[in-house]
Amino acid sequence: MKGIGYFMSRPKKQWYYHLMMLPGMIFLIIFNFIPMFGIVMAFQDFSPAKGILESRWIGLDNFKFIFGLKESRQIFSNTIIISFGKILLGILIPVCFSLLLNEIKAQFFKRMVQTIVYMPHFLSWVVFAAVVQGIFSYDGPINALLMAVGVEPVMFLGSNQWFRTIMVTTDSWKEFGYGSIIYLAALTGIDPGLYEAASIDGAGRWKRLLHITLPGIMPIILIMLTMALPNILNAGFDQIFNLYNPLVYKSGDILDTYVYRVGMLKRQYSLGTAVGLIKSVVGMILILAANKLVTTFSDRRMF
Amino acid sequence: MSKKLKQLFSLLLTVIMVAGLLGGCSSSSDSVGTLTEPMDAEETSEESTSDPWQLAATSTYEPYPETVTYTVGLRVRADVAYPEGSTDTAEESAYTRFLKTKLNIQNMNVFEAADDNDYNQKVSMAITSGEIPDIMSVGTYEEFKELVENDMVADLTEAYNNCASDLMKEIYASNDNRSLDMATIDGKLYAIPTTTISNGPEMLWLRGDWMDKLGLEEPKTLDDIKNIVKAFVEKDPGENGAGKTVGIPLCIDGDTNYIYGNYSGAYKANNIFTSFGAFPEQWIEGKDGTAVYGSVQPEMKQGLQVLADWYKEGVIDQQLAVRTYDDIRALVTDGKCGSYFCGWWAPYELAGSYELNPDVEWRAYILPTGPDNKVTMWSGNPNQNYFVVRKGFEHPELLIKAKSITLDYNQGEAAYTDDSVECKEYLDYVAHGYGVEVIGGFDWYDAAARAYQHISEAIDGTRNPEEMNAYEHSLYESCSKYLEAVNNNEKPEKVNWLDYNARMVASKLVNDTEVNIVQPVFFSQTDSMSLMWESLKTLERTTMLKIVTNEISVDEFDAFVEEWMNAGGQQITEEVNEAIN
Amino acid sequence: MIKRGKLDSLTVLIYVVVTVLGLSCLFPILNTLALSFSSSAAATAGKVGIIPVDFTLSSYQKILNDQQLWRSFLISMLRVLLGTSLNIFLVITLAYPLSRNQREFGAQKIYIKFVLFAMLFNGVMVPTYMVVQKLGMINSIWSLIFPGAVSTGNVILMMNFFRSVPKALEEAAEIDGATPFQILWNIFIPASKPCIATIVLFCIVWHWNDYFSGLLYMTKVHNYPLQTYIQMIATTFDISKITDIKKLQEFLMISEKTLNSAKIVVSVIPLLLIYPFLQKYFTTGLVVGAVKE
Repeated sequence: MKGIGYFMSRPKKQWYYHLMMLPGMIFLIIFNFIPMFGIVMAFQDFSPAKGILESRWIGLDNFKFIFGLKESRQIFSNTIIISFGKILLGILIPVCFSLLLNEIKAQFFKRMVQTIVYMPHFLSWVVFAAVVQGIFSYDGPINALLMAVGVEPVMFLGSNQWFRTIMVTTDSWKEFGYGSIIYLAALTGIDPGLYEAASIDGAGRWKRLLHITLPGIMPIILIMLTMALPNILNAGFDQIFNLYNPLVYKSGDILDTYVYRVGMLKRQYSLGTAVGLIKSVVGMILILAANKLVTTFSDRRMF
Repeated sequence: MSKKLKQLFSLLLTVIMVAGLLGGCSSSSDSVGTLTEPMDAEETSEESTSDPWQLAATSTYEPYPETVTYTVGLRVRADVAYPEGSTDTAEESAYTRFLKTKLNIQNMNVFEAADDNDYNQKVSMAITSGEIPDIMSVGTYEEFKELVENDMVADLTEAYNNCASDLMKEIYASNDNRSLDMATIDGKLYAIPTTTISNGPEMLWLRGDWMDKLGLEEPKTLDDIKNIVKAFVEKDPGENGAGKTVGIPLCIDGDTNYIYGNYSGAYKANNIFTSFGAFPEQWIEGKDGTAVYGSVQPEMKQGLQVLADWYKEGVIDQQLAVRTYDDIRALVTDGKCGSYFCGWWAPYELAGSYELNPDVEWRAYILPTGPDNKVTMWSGNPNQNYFVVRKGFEHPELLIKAKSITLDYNQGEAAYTDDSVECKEYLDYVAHGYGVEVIGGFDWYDAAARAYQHISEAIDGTRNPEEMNAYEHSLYESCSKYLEAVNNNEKPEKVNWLDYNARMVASKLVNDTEVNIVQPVFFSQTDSMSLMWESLKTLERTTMLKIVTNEISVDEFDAFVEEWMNAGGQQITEEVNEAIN
Repeated sequence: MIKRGKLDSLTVLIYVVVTVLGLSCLFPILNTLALSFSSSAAATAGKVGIIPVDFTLSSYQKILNDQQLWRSFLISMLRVLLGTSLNIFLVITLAYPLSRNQREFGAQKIYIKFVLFAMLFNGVMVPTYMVVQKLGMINSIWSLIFPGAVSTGNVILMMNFFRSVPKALEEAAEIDGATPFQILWNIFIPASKPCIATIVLFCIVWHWNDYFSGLLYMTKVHNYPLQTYIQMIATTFDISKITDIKKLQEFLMISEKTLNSAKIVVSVIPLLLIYPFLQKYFTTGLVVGAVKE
């Protein structure tokens, strides 16, 4: 028997799709698009007492301030370097870890490890920073190790040479378990028939990995990468704020920490909005570029 | 009574009041025990009694004829507790009942916030949506100014003149009315500010047991300090192992801590700078009478030189750049550090060290002194926050009346003579830290010194222990317990050890030592500061830290000053001078 | 078939690497746990490793000894339940039409731009607050749920998972005459269980951990969800205001370090309890959970 759906014309089906989109779009309009008018605050010296309509217009002054600082160059490059490192390791390590875990057959062990690595995500940076400080401190285990092999101890968190590296690695350490969940989910979607066929063909572990597993989760890797890109100007306020000091401002002061310190003097909603707008615009450019790249070099559509 | 008539009346009353005050014939009628009587009747002339509303609006203690409900934004700690089995809330507690009995006023909380950030957030949102409560407090001068400039808060001048109790005026006078001056804009008082208590001079805390072990003399000069700390670090009296004892720690953790600034905080070196006449991070009056920024004055160089030399010799903690506040506390607690600068309240910071090692003995010295053999300190911002009244609220004097009552029962001695149920319950709440005070009071500028005088006199037997306020009384009892335990050769309780060391030992030192006090001239912010200041502060803090850690030489200070001036410092200095003239 | 039972050197290496990674994460967890049970002095002195020193429950007593905690806990539970349900409903109903291609759903191109735009340009705090306030939702549970109802990132993720569902399944259903609703319900949702489970987890974690909405939209502590409430419990009270010896003793027993650790332990337990129920969807072996032909 053929149901009604079979006879449904394409336009009619499209009405179903519109109907499905409706509730979500209503929420987006009310709670995202209407408040977006607040972006005008970026061009104002916003004062709560005057409100958005009455606050003084100052044109591009907020942006001139952010880009015109003596430290601007340094702050932006710190931000981009640290967050680029985090994006890269934030994908690489979870992907590798989920691939490794995928190779493990002992279910109990696998689940236990997976549960343990999931947990550090829930430790706030206030607490986790103390752990990081302990490990990298002057008399901490890393320096003890260095001294054991005859290397001079290093004051890691006071060193401009090391600070960014430590930010990137400790962030990945804390987050890789939580980040790997999505890849584990993607791995379960790979058709086991493919593996069986490959086994019959005599493919080894590497071949299976390269020809079945990786291509199987590649779409998710790409989408996660693309969605991480707009965060290029978010280098992780909580982490850096809890670990930096004036000696490493040169390598570790990021956009958010700087704006926070400025904002402490006067609650600057306007400046915050302006920074948010910069982040959004940069994010949009990156995401469009990434989409273009993916569609040019593969037959896949990202959006 | 019509509105016009009311206004006329209040005008008349003000004239009479002011005349009375000028004539000096206003009796200080705030004696305790007769609080329920209309105290100000004699001041406010006879006609006023004809209208109870009018009387209430112009006197300190007269209750309103009908219950006045006012809306308020309140700080309510997340873990606020009430007595066992009570169903009290922040809107119905001993505090609210007390105020209701005394003044017939009742609060309605339009928002409650758990901490300062939360509160500021909610205040901003209330302001943004144009619905501010009748009474609220704002944390900074800038916010306060903004409210005044946007005509959102009421002028309290008249209400203050009519209703402020003598005790309130006396407390404000204890800091030369600086608090009120800051809350006054264009000659009108717009807020009832909460005062800051002076913490007295910073002191150097040294491990006395270590000094005795090494046979070290009491320090008097900079060199003495250096030699003692050097001996601690090199001779390891705490048996921590070679190289494990650290020198004087300076805390630069977070944005609120730095090697200087914020006088009388913990782990700073302010006295070293002031001994050379430098006042880092303060706007002070320069030699030519104009306001100058302390961190860029040439006197800073000498202080920096001392710290840089000390750092080189290991007298300053070598890892100062990466130590967090917690790390430093850990060093002190664990006996790895036997020297640091802190205010009189240091024993509270040392709680753990006494618990882990009851033999530990800390000695405090107010050092180093300047050329006149006295330590120089500077005083802080006179105000913690500003209580404001919404413009258009019918009873602006309500705030002042409620504050006056609160002060009488906390800073005054009213509590001892009032045996009403409400008062008992109120005191019970205060003593146990139950609930939240709706309209809290504030304290004398020299509250810490007063507490020491009262407690020590009571211990010496020259003062009746009842003749002090409730808080002082609880400290007196704690200190007595400490002495009792010592006399009986028992180990004193940690709490009593703390109270005694802070209130009797350190406070005695504060009380007995004469110091110079410098008044900074500017605590606010100018227009350019709001954006440029952070850049200048970053420059200052990185440069100073590099100098202290010997990364660059002290000679770089001059280049720093020039850069600071050119990067906006000059302009801001001019603005500050304009602002205070 | 994949070889079983044999331990080649590569397998051993894999086990070693995974174990090391696991242990590296175990250390901070145990440290936090140990700190939460240690005395203030021991924690302050930095003496606590992975075993509690001077065992005490003071920090927990401070957090747990309160009616408000349970009220906040219930508010959070309700929020997670309603919020996650709404999130998932909207993620699926948005992602499915968006996963259709140009031929099937012409307006996809416009809709996806809206969603991406919303993802990149988040609403500004002050006007979002005004909207919530104008809708009369201040102090209501909906203020915690509606503003974040559409989790755009998860929509994009779900959309991509839907696209990887084999076309053949869908076509077969179409021939049977199923409507788009039926196809979504009978084919796409069952085929995307691992991804849905993952997104459910993300949403639960987000709702559970978000403390700022509570702070912004709730004007009374009474209405705070758990995380907002717990974040607000602090040790840093004004010493000069404490007159009660019991309070002072409590203050001396608890340090910020021990309290912060205990806060984390308390708030993470519910997340650990639900984890196994979701975990089974994304850590199953190769055979189960895959698309059945």
